[in-house]
Parts: sequence; structure tokens; C-alpha cells
Amino acid sequence: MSQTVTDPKSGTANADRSMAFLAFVAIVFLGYIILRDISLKHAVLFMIGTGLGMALLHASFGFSGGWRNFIRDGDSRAVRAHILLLALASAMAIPILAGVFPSLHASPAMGPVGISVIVGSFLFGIGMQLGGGCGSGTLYTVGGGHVRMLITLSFFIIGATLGSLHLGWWLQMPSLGKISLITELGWPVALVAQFALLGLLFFIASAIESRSRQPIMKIFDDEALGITRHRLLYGPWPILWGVVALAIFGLLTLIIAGYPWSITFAFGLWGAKIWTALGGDLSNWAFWSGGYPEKALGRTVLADITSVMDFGIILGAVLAASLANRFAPEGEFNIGNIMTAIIGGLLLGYGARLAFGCNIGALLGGISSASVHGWLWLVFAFMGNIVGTHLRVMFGIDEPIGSSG
Amino acid sequence: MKRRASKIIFGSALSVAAIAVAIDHTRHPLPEPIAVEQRATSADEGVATIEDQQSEEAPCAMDGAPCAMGEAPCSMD
Repeated sequence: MSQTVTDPKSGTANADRSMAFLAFVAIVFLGYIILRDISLKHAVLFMIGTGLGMALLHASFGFSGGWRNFIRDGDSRAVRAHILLLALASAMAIPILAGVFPSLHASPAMGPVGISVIVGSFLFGIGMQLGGGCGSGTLYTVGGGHVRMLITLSFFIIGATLGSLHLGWWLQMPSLGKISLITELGWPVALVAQFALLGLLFFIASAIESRSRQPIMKIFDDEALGITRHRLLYGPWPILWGVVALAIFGLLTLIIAGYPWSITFAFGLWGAKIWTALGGDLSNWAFWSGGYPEKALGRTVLADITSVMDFGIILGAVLAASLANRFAPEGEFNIGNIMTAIIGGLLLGYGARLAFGCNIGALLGGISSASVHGWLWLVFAFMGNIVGTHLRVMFGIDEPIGSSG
Repeated sequence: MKRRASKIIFGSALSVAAIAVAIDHTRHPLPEPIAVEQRATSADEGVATIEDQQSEEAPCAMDGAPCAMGEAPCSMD
């Protein structure tokens, strides 16, 4: 059914050409519809989404697996790459958000420093480990054709919709409100403070890894410098390429969309639209009764930037996975991993709604906006990941920690 | 699960999603096109100007959710 081809240069890379062709046609067709019916801006952001999907898949840039490796084995490579991404994104976004460049207008990703973010990020962290993906990770692994992740995504959407129903109640819990380091400290001091904190985290992660292995594993090496067109298209990418690509695409999103890259608002929107289509009544759901959510609900889903970027990520990942011949890998299915995908998906969706975003909207967007809620998210999501990692052992998904030697 | 089965399930899910998007897209009126004079301004001043027209609709802060119900989501002030 699928046609494979051997690359004459490497002799090893096999592309699923028929699937890659279908993905390419789908990207061009959807891009054209968005351009024709919505706007050039939306079409460009859709294409940025496809770039993000390709980068995420080729670099296997997931947060869940990387954090789990760190918690289980002290392997800090992915965690250090995430810290670098946060530093790079902060350096790019904070001057723009502070108005250093008068021609660029962008809004920060702000959230309240309060109970809703604490509870939401903690639940999201557990969900990351049970569901097997974060916000970006779920999208690109779905695009990679992982059937289990379709279950996670489905319940992610349900969880995000339920979260939007309850958000008003959670927001009545104690909160310090929005706190911006740019406003409190001025942007140069805010940027230096963020670098100092991220540098400290980088040092701690390296020190923890050095207790179990010497020297610690590198994230910079000669491999990262060998950029070729073949490797860019077919992968795999060194993790450093993923860091740079995500930072650049994130910057473009900030400039063009006018706010940081986000993912999970769209899931709640899709759930609310499905609920409405099934005859459900959202008129007494406060979240969907005002502001942008109400407008988004009343318009085509292709007019919502978060949605078109999410579609782009999925299709970009399909294309990348097909080019790398990694599309739709064989997977083991049993009642255990179906149940954990369901529970994980619900926790991811509900948690993301309470926490004002996922690892992208709240962590990357929040910290690169110098919003304190992003830091709060990091602390409590990591704690949730520790719990989730132990739950995976309890549910028999992973071997006991330390058993692998 | 074999790759072929995975592809069939994935293809089916993607087809259902595409149909759902198509139905949603055709059920709602399209956004108002950008006015001619605004379009000219946008061309003069670049991408950031295009954003100005829609900034009140951006879900920026808090993924579109108000900090407290009724409070504007995008303002830092």
C-alpha cells in the first residue's frame, strides 16, 4: 500500500512517500482554505504550526519523557534543553513585550498566581505521565500516528471542556492575581532575574545527573553543527535543533499573532463546539458567555489562531513522520494503557484549563512573558510529574525505579 | 497493533475530524474582510499593524479566559 524509497545518499532513510504526499496535499489544501476564507495572518500561522509539528517530531521534543527520564534515572539532557528553550524564548520575548521595539505589538501570557494554577499544573503534571504526552507532545505524537495518543487527545478535549465549566469556581479560590516581573522590576532586571533562575536550574539538573554518571551527557556536540537539507527534511534532529526551531517559531508566533504560542485553548473550544453540535447548552457556562471564548465559539474554528496552529502541528508531524518512515508505529494495546490514556487525557485537559495553559501556553508562554504564574506552573507540574512517574510504576506501565540498573 | 491497522484507525479519525471542521466552517459566517483603507495601512506598516485590528479578539493571556470573570484577559495593567 505505501511506497517506500531508499535515499541514495545515506542508503538508510526510507520515506513513506504516499503518506508524505497525502500530508503535503492536506497542508496545501487547508492552508489555501484558511488563506481564502480567513486571512493571510491565519494562513501564515498555520504554516508556522506545520513547522512546529515537523520540529517537534524530528527532534522528538517531548516534555513528558524528558522529565520522566530525569525523575527516574537522573538523565537531564531533555530538562537542560527545556531550560535553554525557556532562556532563549525569554531573551526574544521580554524586550518585545516591554515595548522596546515600538513597531511590534504583543501581549504577554499572564495568569493568576493562585490556587487554580497550583492545582491545575499539578493535575497536568500527573496527566503528562499517565497520558504519555504534554500539550505539544500529544499533538505531535497524534500526528506521528500513535493510536493510543488519539485516546489521550480525545479525553484531553473532554477534560479541557469540563475545566471550562468549573473554572469560575476555581478562580474564586485565593489568588495574588497576575504578577508580571516586567512591570514589577523593569524588563532588563526581569530578564537578568529569569536568566539567573534558569541558570540555577540548569546547574541543579547537571549536578543531579553528575551523581549518577560522569561526565554528564552533552546536549551540544558536533552532530548539532552538521546541518544538511537531507537531515532537516528526514530527521532525526539533535535536540538542540529542536530548541532553536521552537524558539524561532515561537518568536514568529508572538510577532504575527500578537501573543505567545498556545495550544490548549483550542481543545476546550473544540469540545464546546462538539457539545453544542450534540445539542448541549452552553448559555449558562460563564467561560463561554463573554470575551474571546464567546466570539471564538460563534465563528468558524478556522478563525481561531490556536486551532489553526494545532491543525498545522498535527499535519506537520504527519509529514515529518512519513518522511522519516516513523508514521503509525506498531503499538501494544491493553486495557491498562487504554485506561491510563483516558485518565491522563482528562487530567491534562482539566489541569490545563485551570492552570491557564499547558507546557506551552503556561510554561513557555508564561515564563517567556516574565509572568510569575509560569514559574508556579513549573514547580507544581514537576511535582505532578514525580507523582505521575510513580503512578506509572504502580499501574505496571514502567518497571520499578532503579530496577533497570 | 500492526502498522496497517494503526494507519486505518488514524485515517478514519482524521477523516472524521476533517468532516467536523468542514461542517463547522460552513455553519458559521466568515469574518469580515479587512477594509480597503485598513489593508493599505497594513501594507505600509507591516504585520504588527494587521494584529492591531484584531488585538481585542486575541486569546493571549490566560488562553482567552478572564482572570476573574468579566475582567479583560489581555491587559497587564
